[in-house]
Amino acid sequence: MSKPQSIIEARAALESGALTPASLVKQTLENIDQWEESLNAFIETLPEEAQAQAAATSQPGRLAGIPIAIKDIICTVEGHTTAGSKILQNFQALFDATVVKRLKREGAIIIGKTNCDEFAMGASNEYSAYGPVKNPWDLSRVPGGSSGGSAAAVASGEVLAALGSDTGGSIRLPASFCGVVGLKPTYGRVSRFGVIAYASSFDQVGPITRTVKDAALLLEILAGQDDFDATTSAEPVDSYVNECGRDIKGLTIGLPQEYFGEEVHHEVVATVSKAIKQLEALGAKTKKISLPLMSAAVPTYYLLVKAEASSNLARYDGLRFGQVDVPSKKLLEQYLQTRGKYFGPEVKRSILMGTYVLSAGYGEAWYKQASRVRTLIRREFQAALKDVDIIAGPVAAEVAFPLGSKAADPLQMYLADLLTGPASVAGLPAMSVPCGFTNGLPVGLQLIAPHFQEELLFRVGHAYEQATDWHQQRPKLPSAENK
Amino acid sequence: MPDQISPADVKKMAELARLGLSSQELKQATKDLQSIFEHFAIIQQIDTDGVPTTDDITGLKNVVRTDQAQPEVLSQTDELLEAMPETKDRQLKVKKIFE
Repeated sequence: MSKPQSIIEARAALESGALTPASLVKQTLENIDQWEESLNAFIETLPEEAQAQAAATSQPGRLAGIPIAIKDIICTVEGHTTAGSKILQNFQALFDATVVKRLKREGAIIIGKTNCDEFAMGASNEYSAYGPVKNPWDLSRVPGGSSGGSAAAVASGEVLAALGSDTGGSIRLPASFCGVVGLKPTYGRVSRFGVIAYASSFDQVGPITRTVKDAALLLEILAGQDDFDATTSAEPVDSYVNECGRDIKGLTIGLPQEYFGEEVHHEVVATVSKAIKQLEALGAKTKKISLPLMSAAVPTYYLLVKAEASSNLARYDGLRFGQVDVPSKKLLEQYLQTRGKYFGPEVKRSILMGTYVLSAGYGEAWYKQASRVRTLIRREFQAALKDVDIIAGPVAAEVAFPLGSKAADPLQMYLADLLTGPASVAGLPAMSVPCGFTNGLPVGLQLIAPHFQEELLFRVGHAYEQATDWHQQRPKLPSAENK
Repeated sequence: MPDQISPADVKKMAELARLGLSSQELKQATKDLQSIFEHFAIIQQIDTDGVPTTDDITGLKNVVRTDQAQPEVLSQTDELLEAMPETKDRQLKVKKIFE
């Protein structure tokens, strides 16, 4: 039976009749069965719903018959939507998120809901209330977070593609740690409607795929204005797939010295530098640049997102969005008990931090100051992107770290966003592309483009991918004794 | 720079945020927040005189639509009522607020 390695290959196999939607769903469920015991990438799989969707698939859609996994922070009418939290363990959405609706409109099949850090707060997937996800390249290591389940599911071959969400690196970091392509679109490029909010001025949904072209195809389908999300942009959506294949001669790539500084592991620097050489060999010019405010990006980012989160999470009271049990008889006690019992440690920490930075007496010094620094960081990127077409550097300062190594130290966990946070603060689109391995663990090349110029990410990413074979490397299925 | 965070501060935040915390959690949260804010104090050093806050990141202008009721666009009222834990006369029933 044909075993497609990308959405585009799978579509060709479906069109030629080498595969049927039903056989592809069957194959996907078998892949999940083989890996899932080792990975814990899914909170819920939807075999019956997927088989029914497959049986009902009619041809013309651009994703007709393609099983796609959805991060469990995104609402689907099928199954539950837990956001990786116990407080939503009984929540069943009554409607699909706009992104899910758009996938379905093209014939995609929702195969399951992937594991993630609780309310997408985390860089390792260890803050999920449903157990950590393991990295398919090394089961003793984290897959990165918060979209760790989505990245692990794609890297292992459980699925061809998944949706993730990225607030400060939650698509790019796991994509880098797992050796797959992950795109965070420009803020406002993709609808957030039906996506459980972490920080509303940062959150973006994006694709996690094996190839750059698959990511381009998915963004073409996901992007665009939505009546249900006033922050979506009216900017036209380009034909991103057509950008894959254009050469990169004459493009100028900016290399911020701060992305190659001493905080970044020397082997990561060496691997990414080799990728930059490859881009030069393909005809791109490079230019050293500097983004001195990068050191302020993580504090700025966390002060703002935790403030937004504390407000967004006020709605979880144990009554709405699926009831959970507590013994109390009084309403106030019910709130205290529910939120105390069913939120995990990082979510509680976030609510406390956010409430603090917004509270009377501290709002000016913390929240407002962070918002002003955000303006400065945005301007710094804008100025840099006047001189160069695109910025490149590593996605993360290190490769996937061992499970348990940062989970008890929130500050260390926050610093995992060192190189992904800046683009998020500036609302810029950014992508992780596999660019090699150090000690058997994947390294990601990060590309950052100006607002609404995702086409540059696809053009450069695809050119690089075609010149290398990192995206074809696959982790081995663990043997029975190593699961 | 603001003073160091005390357990009393954290307790007050927990009350404001309707968050029940055990004494152990309160202790740990105080420690965590102290170390986080100590690191984050770096942003206090940055000169932001005359710099506006970022209220929108991509230059979006006001978005308006016709004020027109769109009944049951996403889901039916009956479905919503059915999803509620307890209802009375087609309304959500909650616990008493006043004694």
